[in-house]
Amino acid sequence: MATSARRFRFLERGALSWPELDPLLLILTVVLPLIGVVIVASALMPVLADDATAFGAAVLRNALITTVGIAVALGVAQVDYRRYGPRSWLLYAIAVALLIAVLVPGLASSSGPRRWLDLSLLSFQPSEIAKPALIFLLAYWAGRVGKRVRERRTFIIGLALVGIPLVLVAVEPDLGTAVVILGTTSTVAFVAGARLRHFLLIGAVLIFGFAASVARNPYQLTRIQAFFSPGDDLLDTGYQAQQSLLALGSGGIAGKGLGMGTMKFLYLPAPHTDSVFAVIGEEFGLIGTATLVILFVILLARGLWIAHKAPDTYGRCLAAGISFQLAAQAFINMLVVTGRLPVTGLPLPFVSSGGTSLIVSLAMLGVLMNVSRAASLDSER
Amino acid sequence: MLSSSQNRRNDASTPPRFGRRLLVVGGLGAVMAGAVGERLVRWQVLEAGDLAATASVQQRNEQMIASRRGAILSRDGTAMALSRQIDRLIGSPNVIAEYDTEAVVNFLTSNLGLDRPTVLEKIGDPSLTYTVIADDLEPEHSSAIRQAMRRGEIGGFRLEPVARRIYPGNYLGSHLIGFVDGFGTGHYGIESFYNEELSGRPGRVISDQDPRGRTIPVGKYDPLPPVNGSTLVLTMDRTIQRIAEQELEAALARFGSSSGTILVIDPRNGDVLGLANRPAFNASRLQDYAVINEDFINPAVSLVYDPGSTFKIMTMAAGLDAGVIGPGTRHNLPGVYEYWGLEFSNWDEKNYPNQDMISVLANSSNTGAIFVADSLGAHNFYDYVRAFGFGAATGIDLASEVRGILKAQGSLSWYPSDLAANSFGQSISTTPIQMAMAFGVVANGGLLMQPRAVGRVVTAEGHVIEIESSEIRRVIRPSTSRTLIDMMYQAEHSVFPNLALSDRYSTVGKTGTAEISARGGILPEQTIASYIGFGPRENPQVLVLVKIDRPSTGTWGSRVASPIFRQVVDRVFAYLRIPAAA
Repeated sequence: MATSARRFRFLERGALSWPELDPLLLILTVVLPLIGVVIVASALMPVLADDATAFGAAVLRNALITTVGIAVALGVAQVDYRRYGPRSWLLYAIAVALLIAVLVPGLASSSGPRRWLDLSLLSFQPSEIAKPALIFLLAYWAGRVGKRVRERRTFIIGLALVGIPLVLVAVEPDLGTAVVILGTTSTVAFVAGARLRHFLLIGAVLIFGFAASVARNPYQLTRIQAFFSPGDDLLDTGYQAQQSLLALGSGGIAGKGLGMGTMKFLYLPAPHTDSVFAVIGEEFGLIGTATLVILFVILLARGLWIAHKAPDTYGRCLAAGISFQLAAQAFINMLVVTGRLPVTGLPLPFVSSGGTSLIVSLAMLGVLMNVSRAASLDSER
Repeated sequence: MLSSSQNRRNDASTPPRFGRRLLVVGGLGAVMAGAVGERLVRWQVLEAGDLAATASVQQRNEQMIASRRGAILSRDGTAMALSRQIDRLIGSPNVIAEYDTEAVVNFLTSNLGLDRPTVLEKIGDPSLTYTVIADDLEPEHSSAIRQAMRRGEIGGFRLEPVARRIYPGNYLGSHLIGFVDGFGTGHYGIESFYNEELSGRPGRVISDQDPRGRTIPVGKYDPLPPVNGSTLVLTMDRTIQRIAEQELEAALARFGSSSGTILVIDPRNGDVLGLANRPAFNASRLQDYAVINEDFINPAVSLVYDPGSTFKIMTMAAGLDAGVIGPGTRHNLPGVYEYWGLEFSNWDEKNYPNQDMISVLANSSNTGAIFVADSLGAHNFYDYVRAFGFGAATGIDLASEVRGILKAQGSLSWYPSDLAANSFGQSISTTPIQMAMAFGVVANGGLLMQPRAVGRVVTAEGHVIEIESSEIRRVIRPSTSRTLIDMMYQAEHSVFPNLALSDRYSTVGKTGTAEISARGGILPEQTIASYIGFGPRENPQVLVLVKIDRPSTGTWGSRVASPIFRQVVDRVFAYLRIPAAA
């Protein structure tokens, strides 16, 4: 986020006084990433067995990114969210440009889905920028259009604004993120007061599109079948789903203890990112997994409460969009790990190791804290 | 509640039905969280046991840990057999196929010195899961492979520890020691007889493994360490063994024979100090031999021969001990004697009237031996023969000992004429070790000792177990032994020239020239020349049996075996620092 010294005037005013930060969100801002640092270190143990230096570097890097992320969250919390409003168009434009760039050969990671931009320091996932950019833009725009949100013209423009990055993400392909974007933007539009009829229309189009896709590519149906019977398809996605369940079951209620999980040793796919919830399940049991579910429920509840209290439509939509996006992505990740949804490749916000995702998620939490601050200032008035 | 507060604030910019829609969003989140919770309860509580069991089966691996086979040392502490742990390289071509085949082939050819076509042939078929790529890896090759696998440069390989048995002596003592096959099982000799003690007990380790077969450091790790095999210390002395083998080889060359045996025994305790046979085998080059090979058989304990005249000492001992004769008993010894319808003759077929028993030994008179056996009677004679250990295994701690063939009175195939033949060592089959132990009875004052090849067992933990020598029974009285040794001494010194007698040491013994029984009678012109003797006369410490089969130059024990006996005695006695006779 481009900031200048002028914007940090709050520092001179001593604005970093704790009572002004939402205490519940502040706790989440610290606790969730710390859980992540600890469990990612544990999940990286297989690296330790092969190369102690690489293990140390990976753990240190994750701790460093987490620290930076928490600092960013606390800093962003001090910046009035209304300042971003007019600039959300710019952010949106950048996000779309990056999503196009990722599809350009040579700029993107060489093999597999084109999701990352290879920068020298950290590989960078443009869809992580697209998610907040869309929330900001739609929330700001909702505030601008006001009651006209129910007009067909507004709906069509909104559909176009969401549709461009959504299609770009979908063709990477990153269907998981596409689903999260669709869900989050729908939520923003929904709380902004869009007509239900329009949502039904989108739903109908999606179902038709899905049916057409399955009709053209029967293997997608096979995948879905494989997902519903993990035992029959041990080498494909079903195998990965099965391994997650074995990890959860091995943990039981109390868990094996930190570091004592064995499934992260090549059995679980991506134990420090996508499957980190399964590692928590094995090492901390139901106590650990349930705690995490509750923390995200608290995040969503607090976010919606802030939305309710926010002084303007922009803030309301922003708070609802951010909290829903973070919680929904967490729940989708958990439903994948628990075998309720097919494997998508979504990280668990705040907990999974990963540069852009972690920092962006924490920054969005910072924005939420700022909306909360504005809400409390507003109610005092 | 939300909608009421919304009404209270009545903000113009508030979207329509905002509060209710927030509740819907919250409800959606709650449904998702609830779905997660339902799954968590199912997997982590209701089905946790089954899932944990499946995970455990998937990861658990049990691997054998081979125990180390104990060494075999000679009495003087030289290793005759020892085991070295080395690795062999196992490949799983199905896994190797996932790696850069070219890099793998290059690694194997440059690091292990394997040639390219061989490597390609061994790892080329990705349908295979197990193939032995290299059998004997040098330790530095093993570590190179381990490092490359750790770095992930190559994969699909496994190092399997295998034990290699090394026999530094090659031919030396090969029949005594035996050998170990590729599966670690001992065959022949000590390796077979003490296989259990040498093998120890293998251990195992149960551990959790990742899908590539690597141990998970935080997983279950339950090792049961192996119990390594014991080290055996032989009664065999490497120097004496070498003397016996050298003299045997020299004798075979000198007398044109292809096979023979030299046994060196301590008659006081039955210790086998040396056991040499030819032909023997090279335990270091087992791959050169067929699986079933006559050369592996130890003739000293596993093959029988008719002992011939050496057996007259047993006959004489029995007669003396029973009191039917004395050294001075005189008898007319006919050159040819008919006994129960069969003619028996002396070697020179001459009549020797009015001869004493010393002369019977000196002339090695068959008819004299028949006289003694006849005087004893078959019943007493065979009691003594059995007491000397014939017809029964000596119980030596070597594999595949045979009992020999004793047809005694009472057995269906026995004829009265057999008594006469037996009296001078024909029609009876004995092993060299039986003959040596029977002579040992005379040498040690009348006790039949159980021969032994292992004197001490050192367990892997370092406990030393001394194996006590054991006597089987008293056969003759000590006075009989003294009398007989004196008679043998006088008989030896009445023969000229006597090639068995040493200039330095005082020994007694008996020659034997045995006819070789075969199907359909006696093999003409073929004999087994032997000499069994011991010394020093006053206090016998060493007993030597020399047996040369079918010498082509010279047939007589006195010509062939006697000089070898003397050679062995001179060298062994000197080595053992036995004082020269006055």
